[in-house]
Amino acid sequence: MSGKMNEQLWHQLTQDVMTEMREWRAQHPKATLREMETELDARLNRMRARMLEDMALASAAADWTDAPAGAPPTCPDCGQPLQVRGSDTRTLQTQSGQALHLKRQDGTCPACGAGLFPPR
Amino acid sequence: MAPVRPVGPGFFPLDEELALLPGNLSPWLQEALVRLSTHIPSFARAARELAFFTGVAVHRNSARRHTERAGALLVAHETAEAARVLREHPAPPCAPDTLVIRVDGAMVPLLRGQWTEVRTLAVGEVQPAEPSADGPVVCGPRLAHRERNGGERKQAGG
Repeated sequence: MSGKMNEQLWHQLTQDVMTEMREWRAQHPKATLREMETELDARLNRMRARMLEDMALASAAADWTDAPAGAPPTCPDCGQPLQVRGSDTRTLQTQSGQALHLKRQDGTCPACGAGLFPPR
Repeated sequence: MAPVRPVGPGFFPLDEELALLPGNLSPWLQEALVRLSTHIPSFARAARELAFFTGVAVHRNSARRHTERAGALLVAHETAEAARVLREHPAPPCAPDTLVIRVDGAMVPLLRGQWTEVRTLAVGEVQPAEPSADGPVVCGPRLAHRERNGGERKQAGG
């Protein structure tokens, strides 16, 4: 793993959800269960997206600049270690339209040349 | 001169590792959209249902595109699998040369004066004839039964 998961962030996210929901409930003593579901899901989905993003990026495949010799990802065609070319951020939508921003490195194969795969 | 490969984005190992699909929806959302689109005979309605259940708005054309791509992948997978079966010619399951099949039905009483029909399928493996003083004799076949009463099935092997 290149990046470790941010445990402090997870605790903070959880804490925020609990605090916000406590306050919301205090301000809405007559709320229906339907309203509670909506409010809770909105906050849980925000937390979910941040945790997903954090977990996805906690991989050696996200950033392999400092990977030891023999550890970089290899070309699926010829097995040669890939060379880092740069990095790019891909944005995906997940539950409730929350965005996942995945900044990851891309590489080329020195044996096969640049542009190994068609654009996604 | 050797052809030059087009220059495009490089290879994103993280995308491969996470098994990301083309497009801007997470894999779970794509699966949800395709499932809804296959169960609901309208891409526009499927997109609306996805928005209700996940809070993600997609255009009906996106629903169509994702679903057709998933369908094409399924067809390609099944075609490849069929080609593999033909290529490898797996041995057919061991079965006798001749089978005797008999189907019958009978009404049987249930509780409180009710009756139900039970259908029976008997499949027998014909045994080779054995010599005897009176000439060749074919012994009773090895039988397997399948009985059905409505949706209920009972099976027995002999």
